[in-house]
Amino acid sequence: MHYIWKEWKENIRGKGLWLSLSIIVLISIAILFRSSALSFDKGFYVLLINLFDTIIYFIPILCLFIGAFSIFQEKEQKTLIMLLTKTDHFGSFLIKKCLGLYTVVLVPLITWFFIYLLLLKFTFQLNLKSYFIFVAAIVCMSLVFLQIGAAIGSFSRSRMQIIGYTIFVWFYFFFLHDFILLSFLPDVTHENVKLFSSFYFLNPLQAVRMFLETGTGVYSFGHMSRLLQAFMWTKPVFFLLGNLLFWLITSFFTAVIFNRKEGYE
Amino acid sequence: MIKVTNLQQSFGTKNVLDSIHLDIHANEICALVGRNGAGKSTFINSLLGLLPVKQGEILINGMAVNKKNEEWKKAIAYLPEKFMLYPMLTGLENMTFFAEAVTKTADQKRIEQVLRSVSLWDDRNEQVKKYSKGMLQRLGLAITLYQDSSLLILDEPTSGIDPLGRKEILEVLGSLQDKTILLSSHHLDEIKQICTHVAYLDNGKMEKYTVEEFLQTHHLGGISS
Amino acid sequence: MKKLTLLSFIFSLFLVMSPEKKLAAENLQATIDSLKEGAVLRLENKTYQGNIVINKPLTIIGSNHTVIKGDGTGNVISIKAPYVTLRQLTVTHGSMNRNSAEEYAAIKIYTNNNVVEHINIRDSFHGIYLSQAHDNTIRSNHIKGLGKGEIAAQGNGIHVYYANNNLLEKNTIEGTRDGMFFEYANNNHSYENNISHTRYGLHYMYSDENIFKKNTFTMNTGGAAIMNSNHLKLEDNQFVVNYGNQSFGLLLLQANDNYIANNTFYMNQRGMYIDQATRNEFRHNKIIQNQIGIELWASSNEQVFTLNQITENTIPAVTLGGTNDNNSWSQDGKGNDWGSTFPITDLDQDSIGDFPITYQSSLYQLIEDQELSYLFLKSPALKIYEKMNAVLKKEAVMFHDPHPITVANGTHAKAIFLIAGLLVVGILLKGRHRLCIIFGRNGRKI
Repeated sequence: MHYIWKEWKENIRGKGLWLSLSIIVLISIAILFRSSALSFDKGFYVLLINLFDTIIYFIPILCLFIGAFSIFQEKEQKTLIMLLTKTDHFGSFLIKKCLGLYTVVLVPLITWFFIYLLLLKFTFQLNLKSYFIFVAAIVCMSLVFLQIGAAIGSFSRSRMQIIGYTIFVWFYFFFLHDFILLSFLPDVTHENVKLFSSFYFLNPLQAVRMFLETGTGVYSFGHMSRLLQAFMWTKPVFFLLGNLLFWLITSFFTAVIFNRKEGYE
Repeated sequence: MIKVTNLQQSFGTKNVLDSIHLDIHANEICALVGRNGAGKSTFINSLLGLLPVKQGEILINGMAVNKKNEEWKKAIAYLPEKFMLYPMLTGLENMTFFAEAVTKTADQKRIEQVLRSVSLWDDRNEQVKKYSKGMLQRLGLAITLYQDSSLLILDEPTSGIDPLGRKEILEVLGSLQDKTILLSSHHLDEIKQICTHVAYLDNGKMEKYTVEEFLQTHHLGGISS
Repeated sequence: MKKLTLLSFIFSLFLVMSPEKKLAAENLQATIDSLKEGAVLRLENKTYQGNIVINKPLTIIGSNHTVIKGDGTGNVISIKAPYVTLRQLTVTHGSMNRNSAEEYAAIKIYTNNNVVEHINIRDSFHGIYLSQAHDNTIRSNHIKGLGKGEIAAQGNGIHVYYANNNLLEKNTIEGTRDGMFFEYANNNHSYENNISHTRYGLHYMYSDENIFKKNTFTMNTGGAAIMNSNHLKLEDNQFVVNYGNQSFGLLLLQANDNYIANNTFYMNQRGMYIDQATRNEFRHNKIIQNQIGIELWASSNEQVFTLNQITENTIPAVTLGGTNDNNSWSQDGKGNDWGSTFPITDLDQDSIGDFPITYQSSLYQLIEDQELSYLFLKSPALKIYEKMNAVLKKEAVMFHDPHPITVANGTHAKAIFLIAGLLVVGILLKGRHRLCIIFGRNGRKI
């Protein structure tokens, strides 16, 4: 609990979190202005999708940086070493630290989207269930990338390394992962489509997007062919949960196994 | 208090520590001295369990330093070199956080006592980023003292601090009772002022001297000079 | 005394038998039967039991909470006479039986010149069914079905069967199988209807010379599906967020000589899907932010695309099933506005680009062969994949626009970028020191 309190005070008094949040706020308001011409009853869904399509470029990279630099600072400030000589081991430190990070990032984010909902009330007909799904999608995406960022911060030895790894991870999930899948796409058949689907939904961006679009009713799977039915072998929400669990666990253990306690070469 | 037997640490083919033996008894204040790159940090990290010990044995208060049983950690308080703590938190908040890392709830009276002993009580509500180096070092010392451990390991506690600041820190260290201290230092006057022994690390080997013996052996003048 | 006892007995019989409902049903049908032709019947704020058959010209007007509830065995209201007007009613609980010979509806119209307006319809197989019924007006009704997923278990919002010259306007239909289904129905006009969460918002089969204007189709599997129907006019409609795995804004299948103008296709999976269609004209449409702007199969000939705005689509247009030079992407020297996807110069300022645009892509093969490729349309990797495969695989011409048009760019976006740019420059010039402190060593002054 005291980790959450410490992270909160540190980040609230700092500038990084505010800068990140202000980017999200600016984007949200810009999208709202752009969408003001849409119809009252259906414009809400259009706005959510447009907002998500824009935010997806920022939240992953911001969360990666916040997670990575937060862990790295513990090394640089030597507070990590001081804590490790007091507490049990790196794993327990990382759990507490990550919980603190999640709180510090998600609470302002959720608060902002609550305020945003009030702004939307004046412009569009709201669907609370869809909005909740949208916020849940953003939260899941943030969690995954915060944890991956924490892993990067754990094994990096310099700020340049962090920037390099972060950009690589962002590039991988935005381009490389789908690019590799596209290369295999012509060879997908009914026999291997389930495996292909598992790799497709391993990309958190795809899992989150599918969850959001199907949950809000914007994307429909009417008249699915056999191939598509086999591709969607479970519900989008389970794909998302599986993805979340996979990346949280993998990143956590990567951080624990490959961590470097010192912040220099 | 600290008993090191046949400690060996190597990185690649280079033997950084080569069959180190060291005995530090209770209430001794021992300086760890050596040239830059001699292996002082490696030795300290081994004592703290941060580096796995493949050969040799380290006992802290009779307890072996290993990952299976970490009781020995309770006996040690460690202050690293060039630490920065959490700059956005105040001195008091930093103290409270590290106190809660040791015990579930911070003992506010103990915190006050310790902060007063390092003359930081009046500055406790300032953010650490506004502290001078000397104040920061004293705060770090306060954090280690809060634990009331019997063994303090201090890595260059006066590094980069002005002479007046160093004097304050050395006074604090000198005033400590019933503590065994291992401190890494490059300052001869510091060693002369407060230390009782010197562990000299050179070429992977370690020798322990009294301060007088060390000064005479290495032609550095006596204690009085 | 004896008379009093008898009266009480009869009275209590009435109480025990709960005859109110039966009375009500008999009342309404009986009331209708008892009225003269052309009479006006005003109903109260209560529930009347169906089913009712109207055999004479009548006007029935309900109050705010008037409900006519069917018994679930047939049509709730059957109109078997001309010049009937129904207004301000809620009609529910028609038969949901899909195995019967007759297709049931909340309101089934067999005759001409009727008006059905301001009716709420729930819980029925079809909403309003026009069976060989002509010159009717169906206006401002609200029809709600079981939901978009239910295709087999329910019918259409409005079903028009062998019925001509009807006016369907300002209706709101959601969650039915199809919104409006036209089968062998000609010369009908559909204006300002709002259809959402259905399979096809509009579905035309073998229905010619119909007009639909200013309708809005959102979140359907398909906005409007025009099959085997010719000489239709589609103007000023909005096809918005029809976005599913096989979705489209407008589908033309074996549909010829149709006129599609001034429509908006926004955020659909495919703006337009054109297959085996001939001689259709597409003019002044906005095809924006769709995954695929226009999907044109090579079996289609002599389409004309002119003066359309086709911008910000992931893939602007794609020709599948082979190449076809028979479609025109310009008319009378005027092509289409392709936006910033295909930047062009206009040195002579005549609003026509100085050189033609030809779009070649290798993606057509992927889209043709593998339906899962639609799942990658939103991925930024697609463009890179397309560029890389340009070298490795055979590219084909998707479209050739000899006279692309240019439009003055909105100053709105420019203004925003200008302000943002000035802000960044200002920060860099004046706030560098501050930035160093912020991003320096943990906020400590260096």
